Amino acid sequence: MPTIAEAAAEEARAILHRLPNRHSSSIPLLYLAWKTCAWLTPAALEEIAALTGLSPATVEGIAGFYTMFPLHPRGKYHIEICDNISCYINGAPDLKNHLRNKLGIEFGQTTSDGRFTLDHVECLGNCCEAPCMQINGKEYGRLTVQKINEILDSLD
Amino acid sequence: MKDPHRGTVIHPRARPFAGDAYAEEPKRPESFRKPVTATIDGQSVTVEAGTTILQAAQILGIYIPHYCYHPALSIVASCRLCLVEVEKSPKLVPSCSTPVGEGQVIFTRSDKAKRAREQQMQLLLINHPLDCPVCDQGGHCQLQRYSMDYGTDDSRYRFPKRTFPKPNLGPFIDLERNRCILCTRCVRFLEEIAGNAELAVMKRGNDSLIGTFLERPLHGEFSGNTIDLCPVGSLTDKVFRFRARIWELEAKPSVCPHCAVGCNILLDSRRRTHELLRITPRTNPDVNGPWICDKGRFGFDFVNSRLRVRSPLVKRDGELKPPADGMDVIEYIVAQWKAIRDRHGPGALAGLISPRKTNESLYLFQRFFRKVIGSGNIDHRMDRVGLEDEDGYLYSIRIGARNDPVGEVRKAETIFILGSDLPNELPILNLQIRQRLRHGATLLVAHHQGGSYRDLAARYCAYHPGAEMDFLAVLFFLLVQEKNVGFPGSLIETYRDFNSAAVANRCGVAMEALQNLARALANASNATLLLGEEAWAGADGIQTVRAFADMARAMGLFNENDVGINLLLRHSNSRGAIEMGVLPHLGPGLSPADPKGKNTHRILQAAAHGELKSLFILGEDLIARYPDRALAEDALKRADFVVVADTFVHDTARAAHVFLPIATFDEIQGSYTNVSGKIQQAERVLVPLSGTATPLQLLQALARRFGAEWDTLTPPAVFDILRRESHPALPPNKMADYLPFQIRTENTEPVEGLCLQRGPLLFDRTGDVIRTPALSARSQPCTARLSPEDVGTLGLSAENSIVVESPGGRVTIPFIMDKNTPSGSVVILGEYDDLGINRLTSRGNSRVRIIQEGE
Ligand code: SF4
Ligand code: SF4
Ligand code: FES
Ligand code: FES
Repeated sequence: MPTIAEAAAEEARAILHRLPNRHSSSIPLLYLAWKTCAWLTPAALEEIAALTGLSPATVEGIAGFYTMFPLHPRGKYHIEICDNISCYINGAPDLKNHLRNKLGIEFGQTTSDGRFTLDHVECLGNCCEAPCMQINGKEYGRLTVQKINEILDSLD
Repeated sequence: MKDPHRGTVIHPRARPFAGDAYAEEPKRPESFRKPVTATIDGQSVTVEAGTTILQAAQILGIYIPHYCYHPALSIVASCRLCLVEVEKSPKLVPSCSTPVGEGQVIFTRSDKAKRAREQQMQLLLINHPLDCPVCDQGGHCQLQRYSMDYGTDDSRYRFPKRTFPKPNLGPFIDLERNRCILCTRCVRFLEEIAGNAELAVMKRGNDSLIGTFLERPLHGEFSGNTIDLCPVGSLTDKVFRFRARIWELEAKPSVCPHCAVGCNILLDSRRRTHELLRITPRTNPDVNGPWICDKGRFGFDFVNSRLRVRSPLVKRDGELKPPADGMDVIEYIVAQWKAIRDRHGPGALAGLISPRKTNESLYLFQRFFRKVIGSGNIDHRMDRVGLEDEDGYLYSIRIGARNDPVGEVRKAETIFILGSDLPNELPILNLQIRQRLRHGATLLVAHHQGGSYRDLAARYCAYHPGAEMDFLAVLFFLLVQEKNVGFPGSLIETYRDFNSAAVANRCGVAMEALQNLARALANASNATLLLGEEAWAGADGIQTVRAFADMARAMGLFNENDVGINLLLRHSNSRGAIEMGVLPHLGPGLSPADPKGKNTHRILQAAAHGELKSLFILGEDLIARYPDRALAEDALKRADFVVVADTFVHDTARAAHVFLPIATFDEIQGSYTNVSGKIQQAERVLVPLSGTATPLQLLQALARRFGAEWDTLTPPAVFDILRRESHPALPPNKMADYLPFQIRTENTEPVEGLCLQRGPLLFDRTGDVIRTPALSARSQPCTARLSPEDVGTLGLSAENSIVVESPGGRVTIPFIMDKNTPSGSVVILGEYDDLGINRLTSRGNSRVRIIQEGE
């Protein structure tokens, strides 16, 4: 796996130059690492730590705060189901259970065929259609068990 | 602290909550310094603008509960327990982060504030397992305390509690995340004070947890302090865990025995089982502040070791055995010594004592040898080979060096360290330096290898091993030019025909780096100069100290009282040993010794040649410690009668004819003098283990058999005497002018093999560490560091260990490639008593050969 310095030295330098604060440059660097390494490998986190002067633990903490950053390899489809208040009231707990049972994995895990990764996330900003989820960035609202089945079946 | 809300539930023996110790005043710009007046709970208080409500309330003696606030750490206001009501403010405000406003009326105990606290406690306890019976914090837990004082009786939460996996943070600290209240004190301490943010809050929201990078164990040197900071039972002491409840302990003040800073500590013991169970810091703003290092905190279990010897041992048939029935060992020793003295004169006897013993023991030791036996052959310097009696440190006292590194570092804006890998030598001083750096101080370092400060220092110069003098000569030369002062007349002779480029080349430092360093020093304000033992104890030691003092002078760091240089020492009472006169040529208070005698090296040589017949070694494994191991072995083998007094049977003890078991540091009352000359008292916590004696008792028993009247000499009585005798009447600054020094002129010939460099390592494996399970688990494996070039040239593969070989012996250890190691050198840090690395330096060797194992 190429390091950030090998794959995108220019961009990294530009980020560090543009944002002299070590905390603020960590997020664009995390994006950059994600782009070059497909997911945020421990080596990538350590490299960002070295670039910014933050500790590896701090970088992992920053990356882990944002559910968008992949700290593990993800499957082909990344399912993010919202379990914040509006969705919760409108039945998210049952849908979460359904997804777990249907895919046979826990949250944060990937199916063994590498197709689905399941995560629960904070409010997707789509409360008017609660309960909702998003798959690879595409929003799906007013979910029911049946609708979820249909959506998953329609994916190749 | 008394809690006016309800009365406190802290058990009297429990430690006050770490946050209740108030740190120094926060610093604010001058413009802020105007007074504001407010009313808190009906009492009026006037404070400087910017003071928080919590601090103002503290002034009035009003206690506001808090978790995340700690006076030494930044403020995050995350726990919300310190909420108070402010008149006209629609919402409650966190008092830890809200400055007092003019005319504010504040209520800390209004119904609204009380109710907010109650609710906050409920929220904090939602996921808490409430497992106090199996939690080690029970009895001194702030969650327990505040639940009693501010909480409700019941929880309304009826759902499953969240649980987290339990990581392994290494041998010192146990993390039980389910109990964590996410106050982030631990995170902030490691980031802001210790300087390495090994802990962080991972994930977010309900999933937030405290963790390390990839759940790795903690590696810092100060991680133990997070145990004190954690208000709940989330971070607990793995060594102390489950061994006792806090109320069973008895705490007594003492001084850390591990390094020359002498951190103030509390020893927690349980008398019933005769065990020392825990060490915690005792706040002393002049020495350690509220912190201690992990070695000091966890390095004590050897005192509870079952391997401790409990009766004198006498050699019979080549083996140490308990004495035969009815044998009086002290009588036997004294008879032998008397016989030797009668036959060969008192000069045939010699004594070596460890510089980690109390002032009282050291004082009586020299007095015993000089006054009772009549021999001046005594020394405490057993970890370096010094041919001369005088060394750089003694010389520095003569010229009136300041020698107060602990006090100096605290106020310095520029810190220059020459010849010391300080983080491995005096850890808590390292912590203070890091704190200074956070406040904008500049660190300048010169050392002979890639020391720990390489990345932290603004300027770092690595000179060739042993080239301190050359390095200083060039540095001084450049410094005088930078300063633009006339060249000192007394040094013109020294610098005749001086070719700075050639000398810089000889010491292996680029001229440009030296120039930058000189410039930084010349422009420094409020500088502190520290000189490590590696520099002042070398062959050129005295010259180095002279040049260093000249540097201080050129920088204007001197006054009528002292020369602004600070020499560093290593052992907990090195300074005491000097002031008590455990030296061959100087008595208490650096008075001329009577009679004079031989130093360690000469003693061992004389013994090896059969001229010196008897050795008494107190508290040190000489064979493992002395760099010339072969000489030490020869000396002990050849001597007619060797007495060793120590805690465990080690290599040196096995060479003895009589072994006397002595008490450990917790069983001895006495004083220690730290590197800055501060005399600190340690109390006796436990009585000496049965069958052992304190060094003082031992020396008294011996003296008594010699017919000396020493019975009344209790530790306080000895302290009284030594206080009178050992205070060097501080010489007035003898340094009226620049001191000439000598610069070597010859160029050293390149020699065969690699240069072996030794140095201190905080977590190494000396005898006591081997017998302390936690420290032993934390100790770093012994490795040889090699430069990448040398690894290439020698064709080494990292899979196998290497054999390091010198005429003195060989050791087989793994190696690591280290780009900071200069090529041509092999660096082996730390003492490993189980490996005997000092074999390699026997007979003054410093060159080694390296081969791959199995070749
Ligand atoms: S582990 Fe302790 S100190 Fe650290 S955040 Fe949790 S409660 Fe606070
Ligand atoms: S810094 Fe030194 S004196 Fe302080 S605790 Fe550590 S070893 Fe002991
Ligand atoms: S709560 Fe689910 S989208 Fe807002
Ligand atoms: S102490 Fe004020 S919010 Fe924690």
